[in-house]
Amino acid sequence: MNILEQVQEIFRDVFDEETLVITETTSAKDIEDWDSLTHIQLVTKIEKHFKIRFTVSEVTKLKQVGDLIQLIESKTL
Amino acid sequence: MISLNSLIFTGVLFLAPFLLSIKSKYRNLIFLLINLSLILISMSSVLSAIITFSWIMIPYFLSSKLKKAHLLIGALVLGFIYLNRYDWIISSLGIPYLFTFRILGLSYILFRQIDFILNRSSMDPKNISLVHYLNYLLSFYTILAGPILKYEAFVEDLKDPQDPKEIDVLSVLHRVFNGYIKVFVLSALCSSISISIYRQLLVHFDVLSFIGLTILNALFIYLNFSGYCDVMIGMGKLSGFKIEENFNKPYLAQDLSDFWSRWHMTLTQWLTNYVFNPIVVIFARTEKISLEKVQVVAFFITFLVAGLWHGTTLNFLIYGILQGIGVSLSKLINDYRIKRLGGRKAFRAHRQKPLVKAIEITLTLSYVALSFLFFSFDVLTLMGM
Repeated sequence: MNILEQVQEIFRDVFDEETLVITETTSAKDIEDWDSLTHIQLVTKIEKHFKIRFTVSEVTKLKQVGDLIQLIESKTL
Repeated sequence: MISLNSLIFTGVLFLAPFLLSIKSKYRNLIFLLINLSLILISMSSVLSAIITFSWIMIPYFLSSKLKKAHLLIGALVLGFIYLNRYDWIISSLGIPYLFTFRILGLSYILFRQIDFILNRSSMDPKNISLVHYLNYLLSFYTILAGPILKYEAFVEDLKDPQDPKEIDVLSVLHRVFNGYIKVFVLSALCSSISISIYRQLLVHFDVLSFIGLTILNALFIYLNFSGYCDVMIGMGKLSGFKIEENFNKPYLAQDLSDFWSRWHMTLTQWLTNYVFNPIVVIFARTEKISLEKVQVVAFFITFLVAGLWHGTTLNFLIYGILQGIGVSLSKLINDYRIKRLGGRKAFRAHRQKPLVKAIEITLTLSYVALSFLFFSFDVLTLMGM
């Protein structure tokens, strides 16, 4: 599974939607339940899954799935 | 209410769009000059000037050297508790006060400094300059009561001011005028009536007057604060600034966390980024308690901080605890309802039903209005405690 697919699994788990499909441009506008609460759930689950750590400033700036994937790539390389 | 300072302030507010109408590097310097002059006018002594400027400058220089920003932020918070005179902490520890003045807008300055310090290492170096930093902390549009902008958004906005020709001046002035009416007529009226009701209640308590007090006080706080923001956002716009909105029909919120996403929105955003999120992330990393429980705890701490930040008396501690309990409870109740209704989608649809909506709005507003009493009055005395 590539990073996007793995992230998608986490999204499906957090938003409780088996059929959810995300792309690099997916943002909070596209998913109704993506609020500050689910945002932090996503972040902590991604941290755990990829065994990485985000800084406070990074968590704040993550707005799009694309940003998220870039950041994961830069931290897992 | 009308003092020389507030007259000068209003004068500057209406002069600034003309002074700042140039699109060049001098714009930032003129803005800085205005901001510094207003801060200087507010100072009572040479000592207060020295302390204020040390408070502002030292973090700027230290934050470029320190690898761990947490120590600096910790020191600032301790300094804030002392300088802003949290009497129930300072006096109970037996620490003497060395001076009597307070720094204008210190609560807001502190939160902006923390935003700057935490983001400094990941910023575009071109955006970091002392002039920007000072304008960000001391911008006279936002120094007294927000909104709390983010440093980077503020700098990007400074670099690219809106062309005055594109601004619909008439509609902006309309908003500013409405803002003035909200603050000086409507909220002042609510305030003076509620104060006289409060005095009556101290002598003789009756439920009907108490309800009246609760409603008028909630109106007062909303009209006063949102009116102030209308004036500042509008006048800022005339000078080419984009100042973020702070309110979105808060009294129509359907639960308490919905309320906080509509009320003093820039503060909520700040608290989410720098209090709530770090707590959740730190606890989640330990993997000892479930994420749901962590969020409830984090809510409580966040709103405790919010309450304490608003004021230095014990009333604000109670206000914070009430908000913390309220938001945590509403989160637990909603989680339960989501489960019972079989998912988030069903829950959302359920909440759109007019009757459910009306009940939710009424309950939320009642809770908010009751907790707002602690903002204006000594509720414990009123309760005979």
